[in-house]
Amino acid sequence: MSILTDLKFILPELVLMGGAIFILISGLLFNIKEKVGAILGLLILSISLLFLVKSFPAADNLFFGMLTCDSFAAFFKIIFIFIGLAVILISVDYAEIPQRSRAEFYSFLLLIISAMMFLVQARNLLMIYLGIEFISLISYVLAAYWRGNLKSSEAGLKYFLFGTACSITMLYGISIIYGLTGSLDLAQINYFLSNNHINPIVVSAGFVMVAIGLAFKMAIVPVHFWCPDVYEGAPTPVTAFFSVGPKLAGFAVFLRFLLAGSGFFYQHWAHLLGVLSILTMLIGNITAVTQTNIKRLLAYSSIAHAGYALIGLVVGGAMGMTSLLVYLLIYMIMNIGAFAVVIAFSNKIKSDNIKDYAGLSLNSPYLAALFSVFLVSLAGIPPLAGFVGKFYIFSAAIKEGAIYLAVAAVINSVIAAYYYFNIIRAMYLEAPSERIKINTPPFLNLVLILVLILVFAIGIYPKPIIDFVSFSLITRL
Amino acid sequence: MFNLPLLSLVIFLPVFGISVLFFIPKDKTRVLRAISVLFTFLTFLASLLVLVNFNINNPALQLQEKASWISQINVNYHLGVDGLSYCLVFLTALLSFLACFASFSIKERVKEYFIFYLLLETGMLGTFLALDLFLFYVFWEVTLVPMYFLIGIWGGPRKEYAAIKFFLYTLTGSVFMLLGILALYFMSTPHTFNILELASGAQNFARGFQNIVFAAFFLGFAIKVPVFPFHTWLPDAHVEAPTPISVLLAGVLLKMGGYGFFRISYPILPDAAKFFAFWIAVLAVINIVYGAFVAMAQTDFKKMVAYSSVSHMGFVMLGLAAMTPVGFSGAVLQMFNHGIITGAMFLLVGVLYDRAHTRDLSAFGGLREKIPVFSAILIFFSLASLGLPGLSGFVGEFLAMLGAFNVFRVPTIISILGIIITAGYFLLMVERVLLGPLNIKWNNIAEINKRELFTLIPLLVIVIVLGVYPKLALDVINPALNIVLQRLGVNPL
Repeated sequence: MSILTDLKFILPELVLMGGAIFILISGLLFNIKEKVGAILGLLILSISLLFLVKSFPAADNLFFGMLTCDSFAAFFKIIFIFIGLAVILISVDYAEIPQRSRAEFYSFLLLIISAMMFLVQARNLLMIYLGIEFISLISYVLAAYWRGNLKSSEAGLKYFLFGTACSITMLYGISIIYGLTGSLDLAQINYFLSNNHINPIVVSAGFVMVAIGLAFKMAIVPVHFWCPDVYEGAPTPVTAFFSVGPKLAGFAVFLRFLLAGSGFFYQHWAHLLGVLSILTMLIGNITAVTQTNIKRLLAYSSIAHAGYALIGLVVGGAMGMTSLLVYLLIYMIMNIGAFAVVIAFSNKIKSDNIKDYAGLSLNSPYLAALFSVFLVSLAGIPPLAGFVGKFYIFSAAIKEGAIYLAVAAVINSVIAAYYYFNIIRAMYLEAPSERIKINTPPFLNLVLILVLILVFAIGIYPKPIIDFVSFSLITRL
Repeated sequence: MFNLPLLSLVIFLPVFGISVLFFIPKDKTRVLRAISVLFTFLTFLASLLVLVNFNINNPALQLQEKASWISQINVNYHLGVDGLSYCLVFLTALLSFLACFASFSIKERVKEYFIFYLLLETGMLGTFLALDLFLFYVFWEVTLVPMYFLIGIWGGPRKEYAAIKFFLYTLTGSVFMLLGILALYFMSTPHTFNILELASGAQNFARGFQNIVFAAFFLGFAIKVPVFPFHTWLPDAHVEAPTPISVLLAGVLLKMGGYGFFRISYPILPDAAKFFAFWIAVLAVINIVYGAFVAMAQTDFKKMVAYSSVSHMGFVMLGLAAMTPVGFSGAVLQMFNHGIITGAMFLLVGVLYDRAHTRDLSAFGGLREKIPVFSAILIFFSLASLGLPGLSGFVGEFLAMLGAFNVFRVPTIISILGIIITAGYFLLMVERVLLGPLNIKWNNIAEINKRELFTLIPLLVIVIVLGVYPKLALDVINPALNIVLQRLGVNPL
């Protein structure tokens, strides 16, 4: 139980952190070429994945009760590494990140992934706070990475200001909970709250404040305001990363945190969270309809998807949890695909306006077809992966009797279909302003093809994914 | 026979066609057309093969194929065919094959057109053969996206509006149907998506529950049929779609709604069906009469035929609401006949539009002099559509009304008004287009050519045969309907 013996359980994270420093120093000392840095990053991520898979099954209660290395955490850690691999691949040819800061970029990426991995295995409130702060600080830098671009700097600053406010609230909430229960450990807090009667208002105050800090990362109403501006301003690979990485990490830790006060939460707060979920879906979808910038549209669409996923969390139960994780996993795959197309497009056309996507089916039938598949999947139409995710969420809602959530979700699906098909309409039904050929660079192509195969494969045969999710829910704090 | 998975073959042959089309360069239009015709023909042959292996007298579902798909939620890949599904599968395969010939008038982006076309065919065939609700839903939705593109890219002046209106309208109905499916799954013991198990009578769902789920399914199916007041997407979609797609839309897609009632709503939720029967009859009569009146007011040829579809599908709903053996037979026969007749009508409109580039009824006149063969065929199908006895259109309408007469006397009497109006607007159309003085604009109009004739002759033959000897079709349909009737507690004929 000493720190030294526990170290072997966080070997994946240590590999990432060491690798990040290694890339940073190599970049400073040797002025390595851009692709070399990327390949190094991919290599380090793969080594980390190897250690991760090898070290399974793992232990509870590491580092004096700070971390718990269970299958739930392992599920998310594997996802994060794949997110890292995908983001590195799609950022290699992205023109707006300057050559000389590439090494730093990759090292930041590796650091933030290791931070997310620490966060999802945290079982102590202070560790959760540390994890959130670690992720946030790197995120602020990444958001502003496009030096010299006003929107990028604005994105970084907005993210920083908003995020700090939420973090402070969270810290205060943690202190309230500590004051009430005398412990920072999630399991002990749960035990304390189940066995002692405490004024629900005060406990709620503490919980709500911590929830605000975590909800900020998930970008749900009412702490979603930063999302569109940050997604629009940040360099697109960073946006792609934000839309799946910290969001999923936020969900993971939110789930752990809510279940710490389990009986209490579901008794008092489930309905409020249900209302928030409906608001999130509505605001995300309705605002997306009028967007003219593809990155802002995808930002609002991400907010809406967080709303759907939240339904799984609200209804609880085995089906609810399964549906949450299935939805998040599938959402991650689709979103990365969508952003990869946006990068491929903006590399050549240098625009993120939806108007400029007009006639893409004639200029690049390949990209248009891919984007259409991803958009149709995001809309939740069978036989694609997005439908499987939506199906599970609707099932969970109906099973637990939350009909109002199911009805709200289906109505929102139809609204979402409208703006996704708006983009498809522009690509297929309109004429392009000029006829140019758009090539997709090889690394980007790799991600696009992989996502395409996965979207069809999971849509037609989702069984392996569901098995994977069920396995991860076996042991969980 | 060879123990082939025949039903899967029928459904997925068009998909094989798509994979072949992928490799053909997009400028080789003749090759693309040839391959598409080949695969639609093979699909039609496969459907005939199904008939060979099909025992008409056996009411149960035959040629079943079942494989575990998503075992965690008890979803199976389950196909089966009975008389009810078969007549619609035959209709789909035949119309897809004939409309493929009519698709030769598509000149741009031919490759993408046929890829979407074949995908649409797979979706339609799968819907009629699926026996698992999840699989049914997947195939049902699969028809939406190709339709959007087919209307939106190759359609008329307001194609974008029509396409997205069709898509969102149908999607809304579908997602409520999905909620109904999930409700059935979680309420059933053991949890199952299997239509046969749910319809077996062992489930005993509560009345209130049945009513709500019936309403959810009703939304999905009624939008497709379409039942008033959910019909407003139909005129836009039909008018703006290219001719062959209008054929498939009217001929097949509308039947998916009617099929849904027979296969899913009525057997699984019999008490709710009886509860809502009167209201369905009321809506049916509105369809028949209102649809007819609006059709009469149209000046656009295609829109007139579109509203006539609304009116004809009203007879399907009337027979459905009647819940008598004769009524059911009439409803299903009307579905099949309407598919053939209205499919032919749209083909004829297409022939005229390709030559004249207008669908305005008042722009024509006296065409019988210049294009006598076309005129004869147009008159023939108009008579079939208005229900002239001796042609197939009469039988379905008559049986539906006969079945409904004792159950809903007044609504049936009112719907006869619809028949009179229908005769009115069809004859009016014939007069405007074919009779009267020749509009000199059309002095050089070309006669109907061999390819177009080829698409119409088979339909013509079927209309005559079923008009004179409808027993051929009724023998196929009735055994399957008896099972539904038994579920509803009605003695079969």
